[in-house]
Amino acid sequence: MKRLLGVTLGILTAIGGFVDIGDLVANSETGARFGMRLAWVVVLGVVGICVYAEMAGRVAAVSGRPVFDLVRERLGPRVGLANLLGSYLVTMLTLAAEVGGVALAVELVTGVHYLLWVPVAAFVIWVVLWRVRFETMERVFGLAGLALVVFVVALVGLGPSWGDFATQATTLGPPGEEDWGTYGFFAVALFAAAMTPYEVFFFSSGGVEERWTRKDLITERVNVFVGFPLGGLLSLAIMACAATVYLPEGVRVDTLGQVALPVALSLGKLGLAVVILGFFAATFGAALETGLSAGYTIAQYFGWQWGKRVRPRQAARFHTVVLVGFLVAVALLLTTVDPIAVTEYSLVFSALALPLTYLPILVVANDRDYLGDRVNGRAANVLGVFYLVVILLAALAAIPLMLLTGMGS
Amino acid sequence: MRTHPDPLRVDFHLLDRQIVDLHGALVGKVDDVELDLTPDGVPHVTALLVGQRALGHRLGGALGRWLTSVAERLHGPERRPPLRIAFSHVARIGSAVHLSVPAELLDTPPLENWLRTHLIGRIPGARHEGR
Amino acid sequence: MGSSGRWVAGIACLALLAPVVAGLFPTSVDGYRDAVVTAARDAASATSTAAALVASPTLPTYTDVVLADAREAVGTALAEVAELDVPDGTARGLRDEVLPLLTQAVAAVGDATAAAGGDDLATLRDQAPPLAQVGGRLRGFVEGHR
Repeated sequence: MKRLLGVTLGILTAIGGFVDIGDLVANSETGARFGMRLAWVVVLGVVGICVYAEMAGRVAAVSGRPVFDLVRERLGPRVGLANLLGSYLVTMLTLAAEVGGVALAVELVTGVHYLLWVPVAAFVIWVVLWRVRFETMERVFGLAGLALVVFVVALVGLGPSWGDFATQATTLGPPGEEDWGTYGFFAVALFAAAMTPYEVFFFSSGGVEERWTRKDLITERVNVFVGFPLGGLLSLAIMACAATVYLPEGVRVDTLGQVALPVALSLGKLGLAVVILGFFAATFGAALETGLSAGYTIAQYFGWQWGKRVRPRQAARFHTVVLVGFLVAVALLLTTVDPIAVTEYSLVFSALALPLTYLPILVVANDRDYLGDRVNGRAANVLGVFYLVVILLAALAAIPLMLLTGMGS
Repeated sequence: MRTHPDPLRVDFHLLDRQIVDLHGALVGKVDDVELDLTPDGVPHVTALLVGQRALGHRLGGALGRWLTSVAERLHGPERRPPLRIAFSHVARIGSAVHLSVPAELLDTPPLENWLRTHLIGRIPGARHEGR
Repeated sequence: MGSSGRWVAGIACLALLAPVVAGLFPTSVDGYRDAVVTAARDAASATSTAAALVASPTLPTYTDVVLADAREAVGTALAEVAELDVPDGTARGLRDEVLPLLTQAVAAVGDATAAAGGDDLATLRDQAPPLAQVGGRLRGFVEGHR
């Protein structure tokens, strides 16, 4: 019974924790411009993150080694360092985007300009990270993130034309007003939103922090294989809501307020309150994860003591990196750069950094020295290699598409 | 049970692996190794070298020099050699290099020490039990 | 830094600079048309969003924030068109067509913001038709000149 409860909690946490500012923005923007024509990318991305999160979790549970340990061991110190720089920059961009998202969510409730909330939000997030137990932190924000299920309810309430969705979802290519360039650009952004590198850094490091062992493998798999797809369903609901409200009017989404509007139209004040709570929880939780991930990558590359299990004093370098991360994120946001634009850039650069994150996981997941009899089976390898190719294509296409389409505009 | 892979490959089993102390605390990476020859000319590992400076020396080139200079600047005026862990302290080599000694017996890296006393240790709650 | 690292950094810098550099040369007719259409599209999105917003009951602070975003968007669109150099007669025609629409959008969103400041929901709801109308005309402009 206790175990069942644990598994259920884990799944719910995974669902609520799946969506972050990148998913909110990318899915809503795409739904408004392409309807459900890019829904397949979300499905592709969700399967991809399942495949690799499971591998990373398995490596963490069996060998006790998190992802960035593997990056340095398998790619060597030079490529590992280049990877570290790239991953760190992307994680910092994502952290800034998430902190901005928290501030924007608070602005929607209070009416006070988000820039005033940026330092406050960053400070509160950091305090939570400093003082709250790892498990509590994950649970609370994961479960509160479930508020985003309101998008599913809102979608039903909007009474969309499901037939249109089906037609769009099964049509390959852009609608009349768009071209292949923007179609490709948003495909890459959506894919990167689903497969953001920090997710595996955090997932595997979290596994080590929670001291997973072989016994936890089943729980880990259920969390991934049930939780993430259901989280992906939320992404699709966000996309479909935007498609219903904005596509017919030709409206483009570029604020967080617009992301919430379909829910307000469908469910009124209560729905709106719930969706804003969902925004807050999702971005707050993701800010915790990215803040920690910035510390994880650097500490794991250099072999420093990291994590929340030990007294912060014992991991002074790790906690310094985390602290500096929050200061940099605040500084970036206080230049008054639009947090939504930061989110878009973070997705493009995530796409660029994907191959170097996922390749070492695949290699080590096949290494008997680490995993003994728990190495990849044939299915995991076929999928792993397939996704590596997709990831490589997305990485190669990201920058040219960004330049070609001017960030998709 | 075998404690070391046989044959032990320095580049594959040692370099860039995580070093873990007796109690599971993270000590650092195997940034470089110190080799010696036995009287009959067989090379063997005598010590593990830890720290950005050791890593910088191993990498060489502009990148290595940059790493070394950053490390030296962070480490302050005293030019201490990199942390050296005698190979006899290595208990087991698996997905990490496990030591038979606690980390307290080894030198704490200067950067960690400095941040501990001047920054992180001063924030309320820094001594609270790990969570 | 390894050579791959250098590449990544170089590409990243280029990517960040490209929009800035591109923004310095929009003086051909096509460039002008693109810029005007983009401005009109942004303004259309903002006004249509505002129209949908005021037509339904939401939280007051939320309404204020979304309207403020809309006001900023239409204001920016208007300013962008106003600041462009007009290269020739065709461009002048485009400008004369879009400027009144943008001005109406600014006015409509401004009126809605004023109405949202009061407590009367019905007054706020009355702002929906004019907003929707301007939004529709801006969209018509975008579709006509794309």
